[in-house]
Amino acid sequence: MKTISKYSRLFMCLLQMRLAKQATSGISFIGPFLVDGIMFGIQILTFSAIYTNITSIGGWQKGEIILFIGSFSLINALNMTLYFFGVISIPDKIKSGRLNYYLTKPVNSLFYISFESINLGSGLLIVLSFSILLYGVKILNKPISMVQVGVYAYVIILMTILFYDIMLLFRTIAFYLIEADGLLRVEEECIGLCMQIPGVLFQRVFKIVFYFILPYGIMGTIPAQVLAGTVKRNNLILATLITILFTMVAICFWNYSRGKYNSASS
Amino acid sequence: MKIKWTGLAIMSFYLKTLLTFRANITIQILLLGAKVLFAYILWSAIYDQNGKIGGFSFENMMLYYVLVTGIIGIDSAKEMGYKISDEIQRGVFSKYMILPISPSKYFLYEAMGKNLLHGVIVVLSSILWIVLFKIPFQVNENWIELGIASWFVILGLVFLTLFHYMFALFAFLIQDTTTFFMIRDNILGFLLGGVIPFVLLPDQLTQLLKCLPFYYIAYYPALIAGNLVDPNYWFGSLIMLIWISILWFLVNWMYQTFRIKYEGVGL
Repeated sequence: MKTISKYSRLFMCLLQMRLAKQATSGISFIGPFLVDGIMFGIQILTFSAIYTNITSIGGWQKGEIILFIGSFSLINALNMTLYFFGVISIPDKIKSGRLNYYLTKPVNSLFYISFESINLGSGLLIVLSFSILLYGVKILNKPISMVQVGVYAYVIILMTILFYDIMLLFRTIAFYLIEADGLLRVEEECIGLCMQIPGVLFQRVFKIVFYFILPYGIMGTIPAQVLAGTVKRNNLILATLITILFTMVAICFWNYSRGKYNSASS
Repeated sequence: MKIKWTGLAIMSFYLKTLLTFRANITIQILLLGAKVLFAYILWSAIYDQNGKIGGFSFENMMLYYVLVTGIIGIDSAKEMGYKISDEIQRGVFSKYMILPISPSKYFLYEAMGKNLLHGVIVVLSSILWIVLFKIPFQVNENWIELGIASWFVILGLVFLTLFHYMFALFAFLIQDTTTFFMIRDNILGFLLGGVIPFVLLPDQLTQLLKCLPFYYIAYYPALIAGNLVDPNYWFGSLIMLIWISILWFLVNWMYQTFRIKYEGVGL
């Protein structure tokens, strides 16, 4: 209880500091909203153009695809708001030795790094994502129950945590490599691939890779299936187990790698 | 004669610089494959229940994506634009201002040198991915039409170099250009036809796009090379030459106007 209270106060302090800094930054405040907003807008335009020529993709109607885009957009929005800008700075902090500053603080260094760069401007993306979801629900033309909404919220939180875990894993590798840019580009391409294709379209080895090894394939897919009413119980259990597994691996890997850190230019 | 040798020297310098980073070459080949993979997964699911879409068969669509992705992959000007912008903001752009060649010509030669190597890599990796994904290689066998496609690619690369340089020059005025660049990149990816072929868009939109240079950079050459359209190169060439001329005058005017504000000490 004491720990929760302590980290809640730390979170609020980090948030206040960040707000004060961002209030002076102008375009940087809404930059992520503009960039990602345009990206998801183009995706909707793309699938709308495709669906004028066909009726379904892999059994998915247009409404389900829009729900998929909206779900991935929502997870991305939460990621960009809460921890994205903190986690992406980890390789640079390791390389320059600035990680020392965080390790000497009387708080969990990972928590501090992850949440010191909260970006409230990206919160506008959450609003945009809900608009996309409402549009998808309207096209789907199916009633949504409160149970579905509850399960959807649960799955979105799970997938946001999973996204964090994978981001952290990729960046923890910077403890061992001089240059990790190539690996981060692979991560970028995997995200780009999985945010444009529902996981149900993957077959054989791609399904194994994007469901179990780099589980970006389930991130937008399972939430969309929840709202569309086509999700199976096994998929929910799968999402929960994968998130728990990746969280444990990510934290253990971080703690182990931190022990190998030798300060600047490790 | 002196400037031509200078240009060749700049081109060969950057070509050699790129060749030393073999890991980057490998990553470029893999990234091209990733984009083709995305197209393969998506369109194989779409074509599972459909015959032709927009006049394209599955094989046509895959060949289109390999060609378009390859042509877009040749362009090195995007990274160059980020680099120029960063150098302006750090105050080290001065090194280009003292050279016996205008910065716009310098960057054109730099881009040409890098694009040459990228072109070789793209051709080789395209062949690799065509073989791996078993895409029927129904490329245009008419050498004149392939020459026309290459002509459009060259014009397109020149346009893109000036286009990215123009955006980089805004760094003289704005502290944070990253957001603008990322917005531009997202829109450009769509306008170049790398997301979906324009044949799937409404006719009015496609007609509008034909008046813009982006239509002729990757999309149109890919259609010609894939034998998916009868080339009409006069109109396209005219459009490209007009836009290149506009951009050339614009970037030179912007440079002459904005460099006065440059202090060389970083923003």
